[in-house]
Amino acid sequence: MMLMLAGLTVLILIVLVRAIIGPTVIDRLISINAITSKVSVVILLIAFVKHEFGVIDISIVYMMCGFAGALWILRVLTLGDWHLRLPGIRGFEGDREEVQPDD
Amino acid sequence: MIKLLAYVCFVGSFLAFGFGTLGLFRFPDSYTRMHAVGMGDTLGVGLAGLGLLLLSPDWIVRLKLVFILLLFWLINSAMTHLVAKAGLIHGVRPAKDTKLRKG
Repeated sequence: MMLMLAGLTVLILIVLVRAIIGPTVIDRLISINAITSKVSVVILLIAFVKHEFGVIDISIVYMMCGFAGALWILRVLTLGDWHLRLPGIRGFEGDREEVQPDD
Repeated sequence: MIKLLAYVCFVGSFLAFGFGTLGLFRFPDSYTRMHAVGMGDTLGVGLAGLGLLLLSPDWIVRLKLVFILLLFWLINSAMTHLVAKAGLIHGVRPAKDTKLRKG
């Protein structure tokens, strides 16, 4: 069980790399969803390792808060904000041809 | 014996999470990455919950675990669907050689 805790921590760090380099916003969003599910499983395992079963409620609340946060990000983003555009840095430019240097 | 079954479930859960993360890095497109992460996380949380159900000592803990499994299966599928639909509406393109089926 401790081995699975360590492995899930490593997997969270690997998914965080995709959340940093992902070219579009929805890549980052699905990476955040994956991190949320892995962290809730980590909280469940910690509850069973330390024999304190009230920690399971924290996992439920964490999962609901992750869902609400991702839904709010989907609601707020408008048409212009779907690509994080940084001129000159490869991978952050998105699919579009015109890149405004003032963004 | 029950402990052995639980550890087999944990190994399967970790493999599901790991293949989901591998698909997050190997696929060329946002939608295919979303597919891989949704499948891997759903199976991983399901198997981890099954292993913890085998190890749980009390009925309250089992009830909470079943509740969190049902909640996660509802939330993750709905979230993946909403992210895919929002990305398609707001113009995140699929990969180059995607074949669209008419009708």
